Amino acid sequence: MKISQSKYYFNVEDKKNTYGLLNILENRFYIIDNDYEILKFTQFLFIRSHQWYTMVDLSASLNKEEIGNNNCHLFGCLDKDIKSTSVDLNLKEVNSDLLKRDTDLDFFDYSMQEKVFFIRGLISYSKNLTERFKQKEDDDSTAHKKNLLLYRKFLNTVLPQDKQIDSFILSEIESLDLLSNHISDTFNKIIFNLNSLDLKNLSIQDIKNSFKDKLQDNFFNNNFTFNSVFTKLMLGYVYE
Amino acid sequence: MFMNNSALKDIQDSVTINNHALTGLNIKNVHGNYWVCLSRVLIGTVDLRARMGTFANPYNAKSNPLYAMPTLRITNDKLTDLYDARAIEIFNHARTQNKKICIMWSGGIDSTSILVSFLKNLSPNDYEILTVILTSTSILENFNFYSKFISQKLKCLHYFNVEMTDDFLNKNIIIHGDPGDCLFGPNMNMYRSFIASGTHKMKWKDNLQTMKWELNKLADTVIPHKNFGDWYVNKITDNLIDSKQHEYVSSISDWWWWAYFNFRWEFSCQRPFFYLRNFSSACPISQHNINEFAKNTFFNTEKFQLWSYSNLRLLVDQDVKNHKKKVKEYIFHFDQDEVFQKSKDKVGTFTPVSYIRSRTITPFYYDKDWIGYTLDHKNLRKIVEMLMEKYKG
Repeated sequence: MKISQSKYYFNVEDKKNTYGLLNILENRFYIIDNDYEILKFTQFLFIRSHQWYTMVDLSASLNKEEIGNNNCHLFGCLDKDIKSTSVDLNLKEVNSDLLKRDTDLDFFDYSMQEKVFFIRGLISYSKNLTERFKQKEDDDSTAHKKNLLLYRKFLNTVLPQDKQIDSFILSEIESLDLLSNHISDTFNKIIFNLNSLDLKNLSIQDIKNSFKDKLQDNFFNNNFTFNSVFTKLMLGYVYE
Repeated sequence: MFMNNSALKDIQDSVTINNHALTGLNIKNVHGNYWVCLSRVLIGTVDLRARMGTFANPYNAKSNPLYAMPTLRITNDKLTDLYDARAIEIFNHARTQNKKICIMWSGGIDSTSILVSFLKNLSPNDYEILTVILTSTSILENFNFYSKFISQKLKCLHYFNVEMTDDFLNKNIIIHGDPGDCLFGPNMNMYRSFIASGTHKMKWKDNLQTMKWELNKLADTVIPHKNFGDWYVNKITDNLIDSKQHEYVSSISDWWWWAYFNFRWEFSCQRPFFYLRNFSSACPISQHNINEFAKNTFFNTEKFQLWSYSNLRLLVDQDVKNHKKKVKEYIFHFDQDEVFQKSKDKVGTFTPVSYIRSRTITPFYYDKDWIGYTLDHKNLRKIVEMLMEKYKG
């Protein structure tokens, strides 16, 4: 199977900064991406399952335009770059050519590559989803907060001796942040739960099922409507 | 689908069912749809249970004896005496139980009248037993009362800091202004056009078609189902006749009073539980505290209910301004606030509390221990959909 045939496949944009996850033992890229943070989380999650990838900055490589997600498994780094590359938190920058092989190899682990794409997609989708929800929530609560602050100013003016008004309004302002904070925390929980899975050895279907169980059972400890909508959208994405 | 008898019995034995949660269910049965649409058309209809007479709901949920309607008869009690006696009764009970009295104060007419009853009848030395539960919107709604009688004089607790748990109820008696609307006159929006034309005192028997038409018109703006008004008006009317109150409860405004007094009383009494349990609904409330809550619900007494029944003609007279007139008089006698007396109207405010509520899922039902279950719990959604499909109206 070619990764371009997978439903988790995506293309990168040439003009943006491009990063790749390199299996250093095979000297092959498994995925390239424009989003630094999403790829970093993907790297961390797989390393946690002892599937080691190093993250490489391809933006300055001389034949960058030749590599895409459809053929990244044919690319690696030149020996001089490999020698100075280590699997750690730091980003390896490549300023020379990338190594390019001409033909596919039978032993390349396409199923592992598809899993990397799947996890990367899950992180990307949940990150974008939570950011959109958070933005909407922050937009909605801003006006309320502004008016509460003005109301506090008014009450402090007309009831200067009443010291409890400040704490009332403060708790109300904090309450307006509850959902926004919860949404931010939701993305963290996605990462937390993916981190508990053996991504190296579980199949995509197993990962989906475990993720679904966690999402539905113990994921949320409050009754925000957001949870129900978010869960439906996430499950829709996972099982689409 | 196999009916889950245990879940069904749990719903039937529930203390309250949240019909707001039904929005979005895909129901084909027309009567099921009427029921689903109830809470959308009739604002504030969370649960509807008849305390008297027959009235089929889809769940076969029974009315709770803690909120039973007394045998209806005419009394001559004065409202002021009832307020005063009730405040003293609850104060004495609190002292005996070594509990504090926490009064939920929205700043509105009903909760202010209750707070007044305590301030009026307790010695200032005893005010220590009182705590006012409020939000900043309470102050906005009744600034004069707050600044004159609460600010720096009474202990206050923000609504967000109340956890409706056994621990809280073991130490405090919760007092609130519900079901003031059921006692003193319901939301008049439902029959405002009758008031505008002065016809709300006409016999409902002679105006059933118009009442249905008015409600159908209202329903048409929010639901796609025709004849909702016919169904609802027939259902309440049948109950009124079955309860043998149709001769005494005779005008259009009386009819709406009955729709509140008989059907909304139970939920309204329990409203603070319904909302405040939302975030702590996993831990049960003891039956002792549930009974105490009902017993101490300020207006949930035989005398208040009989006063309402006996003074039906006064609740909404020829002028809308008379709405809650007697209650306002009681407040005015204490606070001398002419502006509040003359101008206070029922208003809807969008508060930080409602902001949070609009973003949270309230359980579909609370079981007999006030543990909440949302429709996502087990097969609940399917069971409820099946009940709605079977509902015969």
